[in-house]
Amino acid sequence: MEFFYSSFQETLEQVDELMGRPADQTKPYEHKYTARELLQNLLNHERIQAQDEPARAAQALIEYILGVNHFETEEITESERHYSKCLNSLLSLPLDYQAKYLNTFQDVLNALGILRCNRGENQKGLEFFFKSQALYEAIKTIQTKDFSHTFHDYLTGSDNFRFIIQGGVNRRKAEQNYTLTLFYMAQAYSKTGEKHKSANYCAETMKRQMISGDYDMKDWAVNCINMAEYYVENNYIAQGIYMLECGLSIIIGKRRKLKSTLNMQIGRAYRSLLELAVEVASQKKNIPPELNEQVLILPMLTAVWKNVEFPTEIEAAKELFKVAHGHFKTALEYFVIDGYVTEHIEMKKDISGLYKGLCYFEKSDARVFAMLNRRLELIENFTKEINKQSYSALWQHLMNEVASIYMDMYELKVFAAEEQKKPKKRLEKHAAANRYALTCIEKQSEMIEFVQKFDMNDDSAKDIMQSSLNLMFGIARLYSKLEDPDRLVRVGYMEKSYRWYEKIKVYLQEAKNGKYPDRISDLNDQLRVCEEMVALMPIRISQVNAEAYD
Amino acid sequence: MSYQEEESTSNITVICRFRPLNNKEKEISHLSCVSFPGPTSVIVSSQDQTPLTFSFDKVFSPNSKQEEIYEYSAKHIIESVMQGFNGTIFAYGQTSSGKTYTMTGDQADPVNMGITPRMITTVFDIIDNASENVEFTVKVSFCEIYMEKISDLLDTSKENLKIRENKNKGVYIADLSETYVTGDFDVHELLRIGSLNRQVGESNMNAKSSRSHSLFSLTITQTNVETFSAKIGKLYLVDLAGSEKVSKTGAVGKRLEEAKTINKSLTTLGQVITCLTDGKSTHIPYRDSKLTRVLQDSLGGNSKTTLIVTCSPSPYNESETIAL
Repeated sequence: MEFFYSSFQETLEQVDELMGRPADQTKPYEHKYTARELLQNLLNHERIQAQDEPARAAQALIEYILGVNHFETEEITESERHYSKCLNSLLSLPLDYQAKYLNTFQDVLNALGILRCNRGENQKGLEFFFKSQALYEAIKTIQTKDFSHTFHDYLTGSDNFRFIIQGGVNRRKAEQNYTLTLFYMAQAYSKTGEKHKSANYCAETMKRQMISGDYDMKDWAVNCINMAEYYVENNYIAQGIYMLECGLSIIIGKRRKLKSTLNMQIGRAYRSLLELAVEVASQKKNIPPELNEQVLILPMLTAVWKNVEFPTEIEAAKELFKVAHGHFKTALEYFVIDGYVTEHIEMKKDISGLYKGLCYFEKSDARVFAMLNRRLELIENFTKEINKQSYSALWQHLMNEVASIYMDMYELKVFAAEEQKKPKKRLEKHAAANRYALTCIEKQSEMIEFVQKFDMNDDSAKDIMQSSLNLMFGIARLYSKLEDPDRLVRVGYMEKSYRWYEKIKVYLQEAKNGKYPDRISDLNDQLRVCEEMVALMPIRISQVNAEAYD
Repeated sequence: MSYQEEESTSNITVICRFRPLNNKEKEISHLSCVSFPGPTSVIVSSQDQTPLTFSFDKVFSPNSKQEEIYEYSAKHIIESVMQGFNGTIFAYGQTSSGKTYTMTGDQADPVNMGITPRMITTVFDIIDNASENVEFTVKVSFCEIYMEKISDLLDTSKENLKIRENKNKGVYIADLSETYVTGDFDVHELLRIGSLNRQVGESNMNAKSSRSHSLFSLTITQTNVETFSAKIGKLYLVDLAGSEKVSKTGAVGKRLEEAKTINKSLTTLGQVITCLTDGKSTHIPYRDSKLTRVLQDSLGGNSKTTLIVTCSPSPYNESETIAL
């Protein structure tokens, strides 16, 4: 045993220093190769080559370090070979002897898991991680004095010196390794596409970081933001909001941007809830069971779990609106337009979205109309203020929403018009409604003009053509619906509709003979519809003209 | 009603250029580990694996000329910028893969001039030959992104610059110096100063340039004095960090693969979590890298982008070539 307390110990300490020594850029692995030689020589020593238990334990320890050494010099196959030898040597020992080297056991299982995953063998990798997990559970149950050990780093020369051959379970290291095991599993599941499992392990990792106190405040808070997004996307809305509150609760210092982002996301979570409520009510779906399900609680934090209420009528929806709006307002104090254009406008859009949700539950048409006006107030001016080229996607989204709001206004007015019994009154109301439709058409035309300027290529062709067609058809249809007490005006609208159908027909024909005919879905069907409308419209127009002389 | 979906990585042309073996490598072996079966693919033979084939929009073999590279990968971009659109050229390659030669080359030699001097010449040629009714201004800026911190390479007192947005400008780097230039010479001088400043920073840290991105931008405004219409085009030349995977910048997602390996550091937990969502959410701060944010207006939409990857054909660099 003397050998293990002298030469063996000395060599491994030397190796440890060499492995950590920074090397010259031109010879980056110089010291690692030196360490490797020392290790190989040690391994070949007759005392180590013996078959008794200390010798086999020593072999395992050396093979582990050789594994690390080869991994760091990017010799993966060799690395794995050494790790496997380490594992076999450990397994050849009796259980009570194995127990002395549980930390190394954990390390080597984690390492083998990573190697497998990096080769794309994720299931095999996960098997190693499961074993490491089981090992950790076993370590936790170790109570006896023989195995518990003080919390020192394994191979460094510290005040509390240890002999490596003695082994011993370093609990802190065991905990750190377990956190890593969970993190690796999160990554492995991410690659197998099992997002749900990956999410669970990400959450567990975050929890352990919080328990150990080993975390960076900003990173952890940002992770809350991203985890919350996952939860909300999958209907775990209360969990998502809770995560964000956790993020807020750990922030020390001003950190205005971080706090504002968290608040913004809470507002968005509530917005998603409202949208979900609308979806459930309008499509008669079931309330998602995950709504208030708890998957991760962090009792050490001051954040409080709150179940969310699923609104089914206007008063509850208004309460939800107030809460969400409050969070957005807080965030908007930081994300001002000058400096934070995107965040600012996106939040205004979010608030517009909240109003949209409210509109669904609101029974009074007058109040709905007022909300539609409020939505325009929130976002319409931005369409004129922002640089269309710099904010291409945002501008289009905004225009789309604005056009949609005008359409909703038109339809609301038409609905009121249709309730009129007297034909004259009815038509008058229709005419008053038309200005909203015409504004909608104006916005859609502007969008078409913008989209048509885009460069047509393999990637963009489909989007450009589909968007253009949808907008053009929208305009053509809308014109044909417009009514007016004055027949001439009505005929004027129908003629405009006719012209648009002609335009679409030409567009489709050109597309058919152009470079990307296959990018338009149902090109021939759409062409047929246009041809029908182009044939039909003149007949309708003459009918309307004829009516004028009744 | 529908609208155009936000485009992320359309319009990117990826080209790969191999440099010739240098004298030192020729001493070791005249064998190269690469072969070129056609204009868009390259086969890399590896010692103990089956040969791997890679496809690009175009592959340039060791005997390709500077002019060819320019004509294919960059000229149309600068012409588009002069039309008022945005364009970006990324250069990526390990040290001594020929990246500097490709991008800069010998500025005084018409045959060996690299992409950057050629582009600058094209810009001022177009300006010189333009109608008298059009007035041009050309502004230059040059910065570096290292460990997610932006510093000004033309004014070293400016460090840790913030990204801001303005309704008219779009995304911009606050307080970054912008210098007006009137000719080739001005631009070359600023490039020289910026490169020197970059290297000065390097001596304080180990091989910083291999881990930092540099962004050189040329903003060209043209105003028609008769019609009062104005066009602004922006060109970015980005020298990408050597040891970072390009996909991490978020700038070129589809063409290059995501990081395949398990990351051992818990600092990357954030990336794993971000993979959980389907990525279609609205903009959330802290998510994109600084490089992606700065180049936001210049990727997708009507912007043109080229990624130039430079490689060495020597068997010694085979694993780096494959990793690339």
